[in-house]
Amino acid sequence: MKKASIIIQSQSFDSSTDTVLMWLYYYGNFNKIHLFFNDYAIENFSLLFSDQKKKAVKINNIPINKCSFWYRRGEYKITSNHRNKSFRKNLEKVALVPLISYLNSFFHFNLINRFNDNFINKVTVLEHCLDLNIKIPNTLITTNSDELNVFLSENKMIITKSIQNPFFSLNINQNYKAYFSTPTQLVTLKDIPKSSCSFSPSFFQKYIPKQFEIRSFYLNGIFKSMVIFSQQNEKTKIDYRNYDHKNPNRCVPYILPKKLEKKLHQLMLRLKLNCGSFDIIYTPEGEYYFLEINPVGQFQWLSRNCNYSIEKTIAKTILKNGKKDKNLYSALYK
Amino acid sequence: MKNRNYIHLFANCLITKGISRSVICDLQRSKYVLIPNSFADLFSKQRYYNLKEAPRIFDQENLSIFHEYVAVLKDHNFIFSCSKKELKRFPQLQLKFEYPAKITNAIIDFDKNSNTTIKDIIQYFLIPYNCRHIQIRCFEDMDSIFFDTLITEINHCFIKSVEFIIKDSFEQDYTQIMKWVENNRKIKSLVLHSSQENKVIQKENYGFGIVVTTRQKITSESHCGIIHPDYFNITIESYTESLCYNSCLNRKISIDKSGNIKNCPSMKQSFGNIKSIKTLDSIIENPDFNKYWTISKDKIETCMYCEFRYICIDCRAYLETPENIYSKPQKCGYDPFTNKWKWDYESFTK
Repeated sequence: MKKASIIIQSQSFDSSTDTVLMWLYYYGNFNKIHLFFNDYAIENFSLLFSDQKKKAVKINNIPINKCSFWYRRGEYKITSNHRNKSFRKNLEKVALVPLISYLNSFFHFNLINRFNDNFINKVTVLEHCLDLNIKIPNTLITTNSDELNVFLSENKMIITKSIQNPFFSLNINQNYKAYFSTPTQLVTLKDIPKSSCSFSPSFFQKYIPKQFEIRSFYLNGIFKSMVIFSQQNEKTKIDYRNYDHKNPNRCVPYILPKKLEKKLHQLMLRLKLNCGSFDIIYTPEGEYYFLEINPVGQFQWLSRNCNYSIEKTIAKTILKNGKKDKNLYSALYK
Repeated sequence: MKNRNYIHLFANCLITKGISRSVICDLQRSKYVLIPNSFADLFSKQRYYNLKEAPRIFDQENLSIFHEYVAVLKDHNFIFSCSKKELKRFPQLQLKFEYPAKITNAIIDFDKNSNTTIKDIIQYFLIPYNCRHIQIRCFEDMDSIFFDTLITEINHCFIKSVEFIIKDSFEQDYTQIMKWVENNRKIKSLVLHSSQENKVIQKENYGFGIVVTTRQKITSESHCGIIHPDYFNITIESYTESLCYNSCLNRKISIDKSGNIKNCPSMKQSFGNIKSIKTLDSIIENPDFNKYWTISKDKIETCMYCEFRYICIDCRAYLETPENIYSKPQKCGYDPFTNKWKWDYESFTK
C-alpha cells in the first residue's frame, strides 16, 4: 500500500495536535507530513480539472487532493502584492475570496474536519434536532421584551447565551482592544425591563436541571463519551466551563444510549461533519437534552480523563488514507 | 428514576487490595485513602452497591460500620448515586497503557569531564524514539554557561519537559536561578542538592517550574532507588503502566557521566558508549537491556502483596537479594503484612 502524505492545518501551540503528531511519528507509516500552521500563507496555487474526472489541486506545490487532511485550527492566508491598494482590494474580492472559500470547504475522501466547520450555524443545528427528534431545551430568539416575559413565565427558569460564537473583540480607539465573552447565564424577572422594549436579537433557552453533563467526541460514526459531574460544585452548576482547577469536576467514561447515538449520527450526516464534540445534559428524570455541537472542540481532557487515546484514533484515521471510509464519504454526499 | 439507591465508585477511583488492607486510588485528584479489606471485598465483583440490600445482608453492628465507610467514600467524593437502570451507562476505566514512544524518559548525567553534547544526544538518542521527557543530573558544581547552552538546545527542540538535579552553589541567593527557571518554561522541576535546608523555593505552576533545595548530598548514582509515599504517582498514566510494566525502568534510557548507555544509571551493565554508538535501535531490542521493563509489581516478591503496588515506584538497581531480579527494592522500608514503615533516609543514602 502506498504511504500517505499528510496535511495538518493547526496552530503551533495546540497540544492536541502535538499528541497526534507524536502518534504519527510513532507509527512512522507515512510519506511526509506537511504542517499548515497559524495563518498559513499560500504562495502559489494551482487547480486543474480535466476530462476523465481528473483533478489536481496544489497549494505551495503540495497536491492536497492526494493527501490525508486534518483540519484542527488556523486558516489560509493569501494576498495579492499588487502595488495599487484599491486594485488589490478588488482583486481579493473577485479572485482570492472565492478561492479561499473553495479551499475552506474542500472535501475529499480522507479528511477530518474543514475550516468551514467552524461556522456551522447553531440555529440550523437546533432546527435539525427538532426534525430528528433529538430533545433540545425550549429556545427563543427574540428582539422583544414582552415575548421574553411570556417565555420566562412559561418556562419558569431560563438562560441566555450567545447565538453563535461566545467571544468577540472590539477596538477602542487605536490603543486598546477589548475582549468580550458571553458565558451561559440565568435570566430572571429583574433582568427584563417591565415596560415593553426591544433589543438586538438574543438567544434564550429553558434552563434544564442537570443530573450531570455529557461531553461526547464523535469521529466517523464512533462515539467516545464522558460524564461531567458539574452539579456537585456551585462554580460549575450553570456552565462547566467555569472550571474549578483546585477541585476538578469528576469526569468519567460514559456510554450514551444507542438510540441517541443513532440520531446524533444522523445529525452529523446532515451537517456533513465527520468529527465534532457534543454537549448534552442528562436530567434528574433521566432525559437527554442536546445543547450544542463543537465541530473542532477540545477533546484532550476527555481523552486523558477517560483513557480513550483519542489522539491515537485520529492518527490512525489519518494514516488509513481513506481506504475504509469511502462508505462514509458517499453517505456524506448522498 | 428518582430511586437512585445504588452507590457507584467513579471509574477513576480504583481499589487495590493488599494482604492486610486496601487502598482506593483517586487517579483524577492524585490521592489515596486506606480502607479495610472486608469493605473492599464488597466491590470485588462489581463497582456498585445497592444500599437497599445492606440491611438484609449485615447485622446491626456491621451495618453501622458499613454506613461509616460509605460516608468516608462520600466525603472523599469517590462515589455517586445512581439507579439500577443507569448502572450500565458507567463503564469501567479502560486500563490499557498506550503511549506513543519507544523511549518515554531519559536520565542524562553530566560532570566537568563529560565530553558529550546535548545536541548529539537529542538528535541520535531522543528524537528517533519520541523521547520527550528528560532528567539532567550533575553531582558536582557546573558553571552557568553549561546550563545556558543546555537549556537553549532544549528550548529549541521537541523536548516537552526537563527536570534538573544539580548542586546548590548559590549561597542562599536564589533570585537568579528562580528567574532562569521562570524564563525557561520547559523546566518541570529543579532540585538543588547538598543544600543547607529542605525547602520549596518556588511552588509549581500547573506542574512546571518548581524549585526545591534538599540537604541530601546527591554526589553519585547511588542516592537513587528510595521508596517513599512522597514518590507515589497517582495518575491514570502511571497506574496503567504499573499494571503491566516496571514503574521505573520501562522504556527508560540513561546516559551516565562517562557516556555509558544503560537502562538506569545506577546499574552496572553498560550497553555501549555514546562516543562510538549513534543509534539505540539494537540496544532497545537487546533482551538484556529491556529485561526489567515487564517486571511489574505483581511479579515482585513482597510488592505483590502490597496495597500501594500500582502507585509506587520501583527500583531494580538496589535489591534486597541482589542475585534475584524479582526481589523487593532494598530501599523500601514498608511491610505490607504489618502495614508499618520502618526506615530512615540516612541509612539508605550512605
